[in-house]
Amino acid sequence: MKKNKNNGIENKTLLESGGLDLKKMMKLGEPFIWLAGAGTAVMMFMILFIVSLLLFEGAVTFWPKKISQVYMKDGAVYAGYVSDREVYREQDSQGKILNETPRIQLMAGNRDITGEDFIWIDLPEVEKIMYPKDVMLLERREWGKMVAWPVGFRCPKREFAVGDSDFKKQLKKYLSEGSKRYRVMRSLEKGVISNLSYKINRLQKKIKYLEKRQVVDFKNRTKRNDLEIELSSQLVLFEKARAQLRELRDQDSKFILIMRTQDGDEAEMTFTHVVRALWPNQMNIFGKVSTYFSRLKEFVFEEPRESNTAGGVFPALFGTVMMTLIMTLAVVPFGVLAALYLKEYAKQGPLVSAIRIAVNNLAGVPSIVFGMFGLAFFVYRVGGSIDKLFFPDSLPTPVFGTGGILWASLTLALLTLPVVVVATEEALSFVPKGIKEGSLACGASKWQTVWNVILPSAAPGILTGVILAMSRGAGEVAPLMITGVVKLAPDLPLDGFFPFFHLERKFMHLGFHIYDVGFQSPNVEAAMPMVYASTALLLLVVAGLNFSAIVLRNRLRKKLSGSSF
Amino acid sequence: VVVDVLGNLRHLFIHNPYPEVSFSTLFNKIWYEGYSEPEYIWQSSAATEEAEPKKSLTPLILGTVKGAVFAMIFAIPLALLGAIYTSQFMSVRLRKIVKPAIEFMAALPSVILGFLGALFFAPLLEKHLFVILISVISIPCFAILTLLAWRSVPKEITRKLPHEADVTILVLGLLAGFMICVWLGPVAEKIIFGDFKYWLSNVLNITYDPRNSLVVGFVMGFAVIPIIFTICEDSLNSVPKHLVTASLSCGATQWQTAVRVVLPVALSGIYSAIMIGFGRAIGETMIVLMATGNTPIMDFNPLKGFRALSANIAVEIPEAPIGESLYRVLFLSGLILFSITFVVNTLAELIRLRLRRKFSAL
Repeated sequence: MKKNKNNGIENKTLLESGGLDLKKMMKLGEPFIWLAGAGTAVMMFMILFIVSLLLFEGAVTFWPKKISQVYMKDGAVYAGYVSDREVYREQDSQGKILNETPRIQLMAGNRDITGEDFIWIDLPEVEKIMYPKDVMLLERREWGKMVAWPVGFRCPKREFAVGDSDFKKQLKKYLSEGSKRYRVMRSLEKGVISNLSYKINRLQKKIKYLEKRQVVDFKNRTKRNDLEIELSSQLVLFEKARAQLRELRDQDSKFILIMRTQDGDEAEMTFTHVVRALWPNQMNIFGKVSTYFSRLKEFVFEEPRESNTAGGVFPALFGTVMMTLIMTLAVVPFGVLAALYLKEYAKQGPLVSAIRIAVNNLAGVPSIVFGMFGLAFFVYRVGGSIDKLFFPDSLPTPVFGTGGILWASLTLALLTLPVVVVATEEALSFVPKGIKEGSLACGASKWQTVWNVILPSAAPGILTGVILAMSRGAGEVAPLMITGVVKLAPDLPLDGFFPFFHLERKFMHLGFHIYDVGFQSPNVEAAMPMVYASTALLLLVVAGLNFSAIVLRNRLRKKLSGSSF
Repeated sequence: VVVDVLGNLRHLFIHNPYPEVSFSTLFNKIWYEGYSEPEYIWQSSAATEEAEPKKSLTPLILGTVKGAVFAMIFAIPLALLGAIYTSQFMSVRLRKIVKPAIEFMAALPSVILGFLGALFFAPLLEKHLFVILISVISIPCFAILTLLAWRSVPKEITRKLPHEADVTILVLGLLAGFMICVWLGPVAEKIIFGDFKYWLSNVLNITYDPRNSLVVGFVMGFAVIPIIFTICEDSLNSVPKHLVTASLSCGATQWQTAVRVVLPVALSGIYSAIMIGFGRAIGETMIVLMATGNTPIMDFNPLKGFRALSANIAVEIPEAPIGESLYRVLFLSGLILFSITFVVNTLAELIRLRLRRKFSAL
């Protein structure tokens, strides 16, 4: 900026005369300028701090930590990894501090045995801390983590004990076999059996529908017979798959892993029960990195376990993306057409400026009010009517008359409409007048000009608006809470069954996942790392969208300034 | 049963299916069963069957206003100072970093901010209340101190340093000041108060909630800062350049130009920025839902929580049966929210239009 340079020179001439001249400083307003600078600096600090805090906490979540064995002076021994440290203040009933003790929090796991995941340990009471080599950290499908020593394991043919020469090798082999078995069982259960039960359900519904019609003619009866034959064959398949699963489970229950905890309790579990088994104190850096990435992969691509406090966030991520896409599909045509009309076709007058004010106003309406509108209008009115017209069989259980991904997306589309309209209008006003007039002068009609000339050259700007709307929509939670987000959805809104997109289904959302796990889960402490990780993921999604919008905008600016108009 | 003028007995049917909802139950003090005096109470679902639902919107409206006011107290100075500095005194190179960074703040989902407020800042504030308060107060002082120190350095040295050195010095000075607060704060606390929170509760009789309005003010302030900042900065920047150059060439310093020429011209833009920010703070849902205790109380103590209209809707509407009085009262509160923001935003928009006309006239 030119101004600034001028000021630099001026500053110097004014300050030439001497060192600390308060009068001149006041005249230059320097204290105030520095105050303003301090304000800016504080803002920048806060942004940096928040973003780096989230990214850091999210990133360290998956790093395996050393397991320490803490020997207390009174003879008690605890094992676990350090998850937090603080200075504890003991206070009397009026809040007066009696004494302060530094303490650490151990994540000791074994919730099924001790009832608590975490232990606070006062550091002055500690005698020594050891790092035993052979301690294991098991991530289990239920009951959270386990910190324990292996004792041995039983297979149908032979038994292994911890003293055996190749014990660790064998244990690793059986663990990987166990996870293979788990995958087979899971695909049978989630794939084959749920497919079959879905089909059976549909057939039963069809039969019921035919029965209700009460027109007993020949066609109807043969149709019913066909359906019933198919149903019985499906039922046979279903039973067969169930039997197979039972057999697999029986077989699996013969492979038993025995662990001993710090307190000497022995715990038995099947190998399929173990998600991941680690020897954290023996790991080198490569082992740690590979564990880190395996945990990261699980986080992004797997389903949550244990009421969302462990495992992955895939359904939530998927729900967020799908909802944002549906929202975009809904908002873009409306937004762009509205802006086109306002900018190119409408006669500029009090009505149009009133509409503009209304659109800007829409941007300021609280999101929860949009949510209420969505609930009352989309869910209860529109959804209720659709149910009455098209799904009278399933009433009183609502199909569309309850929150779902379609209604949530439409609500958010309303919410983000002003973003698209404003950005499109701006992009349209950036289009050089010369192009437009040139096209009109060549004999193109107004629509041809708009479609072939104006829209293409405004496209990057419109796209920027769309991406900004997407980032706003992806981060919004409040309206979703009342129009169709749930903490745990049984099925994704997209699957292999006709009609593939199940727009009436409830869905999971990253933002709501954060709220739910962080505030409503029974074991908040154990869930905190997951919450930080989800927060970092959401931040990355939103930041990525924004960043691409900024890049697009800059390219658009460059392109326009480069043109000769 | 009533007796009419002629002395006949008559039945009069009073049809009032929703006895618990009227203007006075929603907005005035009501003397409920089991309470010693008339009060404003929101308690939509009672613990026992017989207890009547208490639906006073007054504490909720007060809570909404309280949260927004604290957010604005935190946000306005920072955003305004930032906008003035960024538009008037900052070098182009720095501005290219600072402006997008603050605009990125606007894209931070409020659920992230709410989560941070409730589970990170609230425990932090609870532990280090005094240090944080003291550093908020002393940071401006440190800015001035840094300036004095910088100016007392002989000119021969400062001239050799690059032009942007003062920014670095300022940042370093602030950091040092913050460090000093962190180190000396606990010591000062021990000497003066013993324990600050103990002193608060016993001497001043102020109770402390972990999730309180200060936390909300800070976090929600963070959410509205970018809105205020962007609009302010834009309107400061779009002040016609010939006014600025005229003022500078008449011999006014840059500070004098900024305060006496640029600021008055852009003032209505700043008003509208503040109003839009206020509207946003009124309607913010996730932050107040997560970072307050959600207790509907009537007071202005910054160390206590509150319950806002928006959070109330989010919590209660999924369970409210359609068409019943709770559902309708919640929609009424939605209407109140809508009308507040509608009025505020329309005013702001009108002001902005006037500003634009003024600029084009200049």
